[in-house]
Amino acid sequence: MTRTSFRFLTVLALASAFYPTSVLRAESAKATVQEFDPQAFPGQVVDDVVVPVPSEVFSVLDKLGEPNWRQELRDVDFPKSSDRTKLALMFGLVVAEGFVSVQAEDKEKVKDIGREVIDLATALGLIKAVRPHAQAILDAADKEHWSAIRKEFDQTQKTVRDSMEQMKDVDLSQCVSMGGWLRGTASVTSVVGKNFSADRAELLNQPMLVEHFLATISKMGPSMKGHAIVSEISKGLTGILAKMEGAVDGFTKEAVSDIGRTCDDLLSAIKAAK
Amino acid sequence: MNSFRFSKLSFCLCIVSLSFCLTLDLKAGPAEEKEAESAALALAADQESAGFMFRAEAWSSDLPQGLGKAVKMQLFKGNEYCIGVAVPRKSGVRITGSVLDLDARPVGEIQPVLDGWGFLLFFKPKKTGVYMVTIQIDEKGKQADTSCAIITGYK
Repeated sequence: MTRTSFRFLTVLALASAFYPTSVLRAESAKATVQEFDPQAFPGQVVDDVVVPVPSEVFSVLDKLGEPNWRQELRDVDFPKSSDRTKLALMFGLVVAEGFVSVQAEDKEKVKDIGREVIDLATALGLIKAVRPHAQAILDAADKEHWSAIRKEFDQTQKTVRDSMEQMKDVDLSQCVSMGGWLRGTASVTSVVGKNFSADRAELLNQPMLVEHFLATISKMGPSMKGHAIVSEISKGLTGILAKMEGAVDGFTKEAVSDIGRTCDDLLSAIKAAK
Repeated sequence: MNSFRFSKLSFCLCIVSLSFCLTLDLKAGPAEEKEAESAALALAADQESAGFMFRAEAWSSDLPQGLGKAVKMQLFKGNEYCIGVAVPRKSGVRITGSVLDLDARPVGEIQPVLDGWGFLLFFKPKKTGVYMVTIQIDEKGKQADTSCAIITGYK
């Protein structure tokens, strides 16, 4: 449904460049939502997507109930790896775990994650750029400044992705986003599954993001695309997309659980990295 | 004679390189995108005191005259959004835009800055899903290619 609507929107945007103004104005008036002049928008629909941070979804879950975030925390002690693809996925995963620990207001966990961020950044050769953020996370954890920690985790991920992109490692930068999204979505499905409601489950209506990740993988270089874990993620995301697109009348509890299981399996595969 | 030819050649080369530099300067590039991002961040800073948390990652791109941009965004029901959109403050370009819902209808409220170099969109989604932020150059300002940036805040 979402895809259809945006196809319509794309057509509208492009058609408006050629369509007589008066007709468009009349159609706009029929909509009666707000004054809008589509004639003023001969435009280009951009493919780029800014992936939301996990806390954006977590904050809604907080409003809809009181999830026990401590129950959602996972171990972040990963095996050492020299595989940069896996390291990038792990980095995204760890930062997302950081967001969960902030929701849980677990000071010690935040510090553990801060230290893991340092280890992963060192392995990725990005410690110089990341150290100030990691230090800020550790300092804010001592003071229990949760909003400052949340901001710093977000900034850490941005710094790492920017650094990778500056080094022409765009594919690696996308792996950071994917790892983070998988961990964030696993938490959301777990919280929703424990106290199911249509409102909570609706937060999983994110097919555009999944499509974005699938498109990103399809554009990756052959070595990255052929990487075992990346191809496993691609298969998993295809399954998740089907579940999301199939939820036309809302998500069932089973669909939520299936999405969660797929995310957990992929996260286990990332964590099993050597 | 030779020296005359040489100075003529130097003069031509100077003109060519000068026009090349000017072209580079006029074209929207990474530096201009940074300026647009700074302007969007400045808009966001004022809203942080109102409780909005802004995503660290901004979106930026070129904004050619006569061709708007529509950027897809995943937004979540239950959050209130503040979307800051800006072009470089000194560009003289004025912009306008909107948030469109799944049916391509404009939703939310727009709050432009006085000089027209940016605006804030406030919006509470009624459904979780994909929305579209549109940006276009306003006829009232300077007509030139520029860069634009979007920063998203939620609470």
